[in-house]
Amino acid sequence: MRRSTPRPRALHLAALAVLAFLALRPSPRLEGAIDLALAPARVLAELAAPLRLVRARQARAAEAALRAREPDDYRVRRQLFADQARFALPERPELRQGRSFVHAEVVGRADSLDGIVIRPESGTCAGILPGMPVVSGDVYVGRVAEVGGEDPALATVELVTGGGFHVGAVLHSTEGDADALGRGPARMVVGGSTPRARGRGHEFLLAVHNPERRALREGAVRVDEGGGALEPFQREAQGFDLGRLVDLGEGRYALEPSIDYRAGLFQVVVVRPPDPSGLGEAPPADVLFDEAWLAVRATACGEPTPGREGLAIGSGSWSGVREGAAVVSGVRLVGRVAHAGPFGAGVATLGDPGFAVPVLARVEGRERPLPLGRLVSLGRDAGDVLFAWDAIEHLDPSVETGGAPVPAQLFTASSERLVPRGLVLGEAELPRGKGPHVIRLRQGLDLTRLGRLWVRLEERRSALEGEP
Amino acid sequence: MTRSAVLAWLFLALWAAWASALQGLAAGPEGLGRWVPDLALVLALSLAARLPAEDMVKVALAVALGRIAVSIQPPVALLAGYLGILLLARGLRSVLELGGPLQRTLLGALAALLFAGWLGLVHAERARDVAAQAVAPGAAAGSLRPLAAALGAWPAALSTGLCALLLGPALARLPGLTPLRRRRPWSRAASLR
Repeated sequence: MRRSTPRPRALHLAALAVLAFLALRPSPRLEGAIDLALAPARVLAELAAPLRLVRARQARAAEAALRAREPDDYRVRRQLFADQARFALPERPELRQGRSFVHAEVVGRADSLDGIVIRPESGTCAGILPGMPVVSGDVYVGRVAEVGGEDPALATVELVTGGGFHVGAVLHSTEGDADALGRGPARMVVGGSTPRARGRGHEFLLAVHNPERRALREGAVRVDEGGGALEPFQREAQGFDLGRLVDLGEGRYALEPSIDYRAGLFQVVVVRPPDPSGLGEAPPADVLFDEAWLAVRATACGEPTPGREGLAIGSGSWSGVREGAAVVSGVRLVGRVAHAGPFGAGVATLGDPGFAVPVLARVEGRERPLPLGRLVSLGRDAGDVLFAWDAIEHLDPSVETGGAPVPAQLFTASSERLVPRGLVLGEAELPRGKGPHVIRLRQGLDLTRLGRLWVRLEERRSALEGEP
Repeated sequence: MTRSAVLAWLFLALWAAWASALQGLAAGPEGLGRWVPDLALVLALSLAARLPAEDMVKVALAVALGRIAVSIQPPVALLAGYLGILLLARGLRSVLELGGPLQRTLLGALAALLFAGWLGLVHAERARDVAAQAVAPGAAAGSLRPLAAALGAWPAALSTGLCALLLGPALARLPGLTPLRRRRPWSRAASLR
C-alpha cells in the first residue's frame, strides 16, 4: 500500500519554500526557466479568451470613444512637444549666441556612472561629440560622456551630480561680483553632491570644491572653465547656471540646484558650436509612428485578484515584449508590461496599485510643462486613478486663484526607454503647494476594455525578424 | 498515469482558467468588484477534500496553470500560493472532514484571505524599489501593504466561503474531472491520510 511518506511531504514543503523565496526575491534566470516550463498556459489563455465576447460590445464602445478623442489627444500632444522644445532651449539671449542646439529626450539612467542616457529627437547622434555640454533651459546639466556605444541612436551624459564630475564655475552675487577688496567674481569647482545631501528634490545640494575665498556671498553660480585647455567645448558651456550658492556654515558651501535631477529631468539640449552647414537640426521623428511597436491582443477580461488591475496579452518575450514596456492604444497609455512569459504577458494598467510612470503636466495658464516626477498609482476609486504626488516643483499657492486646484493634462515623460514621452494619461486637478497630495486622474475612457493594443519594443520589428 | 487521468488533469487546468477568467470578468467596475469570489480556489479546495493526499501537488499545479493563463501575477507567486493552500488543506484533512458544509465554508474564506495576503506580500516586495523611486515614496509604499491587501480581501473571503458552501460539491463534479475522483475511491484515500 502506498502512503504519503515523510519524504514526499518534506519534498513538497521544500518546493514550497523555494517557490516562496523566488516569489519574494526574484531571480530573472530561474523565473525565466519556470516561465518556459509553464508556457503551455498560453494555450489555456486562448481557450479562455472566448469569455471576452461577453464584453465585446463594451470593447467596441471603448474603441469608438477612443477614436473620437484621438484628434484632440494628438493636438494637445503636439502642443506639449512644442512647449517642451521651446523651454528646453536657453532663454537668456547670450546663451543662444554662437551656439547650435540638438534637442534630446532622457530615456534612462546610465548603468556605469551617475548619468543619463539621451536620445536625440532627430533619431541620430550625428554631430554630437564627447565633452559637449548638455543643458535644460539656462541650466547646465552635465556633459556628453559617450556617443553611440551599444545603440548608435543613444548618448550617455555624465551629470553634474556624479561623484567624479567637476566643472569650473564663478559666483555672481546679488550684491555685485566684486568683493570688499575689489576682487572679481570668486571662482570654484562644482561637481557631485554634498555629504549632507538628503537625496530629495530641493534638499539635494551640489558640492562646491576649492572656493577661491573663504567668505562668499550668496548668489548664482555659473559655468566658467576659465579658458584652460583641459576641457573641450568650454565656450559652449560658458555662462550656464549651476545653482544658487548656500552657506552650510564653518566655511562650507554648496549649491541648491535649479532643477530636480532625480525626477524632473526629461528634456535636454546638447550645445554645439555654430552649425557651419546652416541646415540646423533635423525634424524630430515621432516614435508613435516608428517600427518599434507590436500589435497585440488582449486574451483575458481582467485581473482576477481583488484590488489589482490588468489584462493578459497574447504575445511574450519571444516576440520581443519586455517588462516595463508601454502598452498603448492610439496615443493613450493603457498600461505597462508587468510580467513577460515566452508566449504571453501580463499588463498592469494605470489603476493597479504600484503602477509607476514618469509624468509631465500641461497646466492651464502656465506655458512651461510641469514635471511631476515618477508617480505611483494608489489604485482606482470611483473610476478615477489615484496617484500620490509630493510636489518637487510645485504650483504657487499664493497666486490669483487663491489656492484652488488647477486643471491639467497629464502625459508620460521621457526617462524610461520603453515608455515614450507624450502618451496621454488623462486629466487631473493639480493641487497647489508642496504636498504631499493625491491626484485624481480622469481617463475619460475605460481602456481596460480594449482588445487591440500595441506594445513598445526594444528594437524595431524588422531587426527582430532579421530583416535588413 | 492513464490517458484518461492525464486528460482529467488538463480539464482541471482548463476549468481553472475559465474560473479565473470569470473572476476577472466579474471584478470589473460594473461587476462585483472586491466581492468577487475566488472560484479557482474553491475548485482546488473542493478537489482537495476528495482526492488522495499525493495528488495535492498536481491539483495545485493544474489550478495554478489555469490562473497563470489569465493573470498578471508572477507565475512563481501563484504556484507557491496554490501549493501552500493545498498543503495546508492536506494537513487539515488529517483532523477535519473538509467536505462538510461548515468546514468548507470556513476553509474557503480562510484560504481566500491567506491567498490575497500572500499575493499582496509578493506585490509589495516586488514593487518596493518602484515605490522608493517615486516622488511620494511614503504614500506609494503605504498602498502596497500586504496586511492591508489581506484585510481588504474580506469581501472576497466572505463570497469565497459562500461559494464553497453552495458550489463546492458541484465544482468537484465538473465535466472531465470524473477520472480524478474515480481513480482512487474516497474511502480508500481516507485510509491513507
